[in-house]
Amino acid sequence: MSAAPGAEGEGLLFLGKATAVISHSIKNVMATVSETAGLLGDLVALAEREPRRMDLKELGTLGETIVEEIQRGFQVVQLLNKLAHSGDQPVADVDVEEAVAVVSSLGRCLAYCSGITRLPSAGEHPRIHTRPLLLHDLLFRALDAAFRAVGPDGEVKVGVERGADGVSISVHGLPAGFRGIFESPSVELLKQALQARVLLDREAGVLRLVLPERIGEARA
Amino acid sequence: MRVLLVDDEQKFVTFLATRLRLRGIDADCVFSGEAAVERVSSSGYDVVVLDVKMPGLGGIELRRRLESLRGGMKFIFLTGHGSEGDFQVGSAEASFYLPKPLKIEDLIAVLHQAVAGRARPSEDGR
Repeated sequence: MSAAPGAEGEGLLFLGKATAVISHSIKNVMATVSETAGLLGDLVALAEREPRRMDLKELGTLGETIVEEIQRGFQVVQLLNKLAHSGDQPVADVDVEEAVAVVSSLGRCLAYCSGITRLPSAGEHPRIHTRPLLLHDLLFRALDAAFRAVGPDGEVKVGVERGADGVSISVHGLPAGFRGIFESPSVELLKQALQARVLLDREAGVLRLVLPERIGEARA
Repeated sequence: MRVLLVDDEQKFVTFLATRLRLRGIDADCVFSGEAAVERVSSSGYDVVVLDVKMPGLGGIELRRRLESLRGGMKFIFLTGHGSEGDFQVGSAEASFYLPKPLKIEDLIAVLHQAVAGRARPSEDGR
């Protein structure tokens, strides 16, 4: 079962954009490790000239910073790995909470990222049979649009819930002027490929992506 | 030489400022474009080294605001992207452009070139 060629192209574009965003984050980590190691070297060189200036506590703190940054880098690489594998199978069972977590992590790499909090879920992790890569793409577009509307000082809340018509992912906290993500032909392609509905409650400031439990073979 | 470093990567910019100070350069750092505007409103700097992409006020717009506040400062853009497109934007908008991670010797050389008012480096000289 393959999606419409246009939708597959959208998935590739998404992976390209995600990779660019992630590479920026990795470079920031590398830059911090580089400066931390550089400062360590500077302080050691200084202490060689003036042994009394050796501050072991400061050296230890810098060492800890390198470890922390490597952990941050590892998390970014894990994110890249998860996104890369979202394209392994055109259609698969997807843990929606996990998909939201992955896309939220990607969103946090954006310079204009707003705060993101997760609304409490009912405890279950709803799974749906869908197109993983395109689901991540649509979700990212929703979050990206929300961040741009809310701004870096604002906050969006994301919730996942199972309903009678499938599983819905809701993005809360949108301003009154939010225009949604509906008008782009590429979003239309994604909606069709995912058989998703995108609903906007302007009054409540909530964008909702409603996804079927299982995409139909006939509409693939 | 007075240098202001602006980057939302707090440890990166803090340690970079410390390393510059250890080399005799009077360097301050702030973590946002908004804080840079506030700092430049009250203090003069010879060179501002700024990240292209930051939350809120990004590097390109920040440079315009700072220039309107206080003329005569030189600007060096830093970026984590390092793409050809970034180089074009960076070299068009600022005195110099350096991709992260950077070598401190390169930054210091560029700081001196900027203060001396030398022409921006050629693309081959990145």
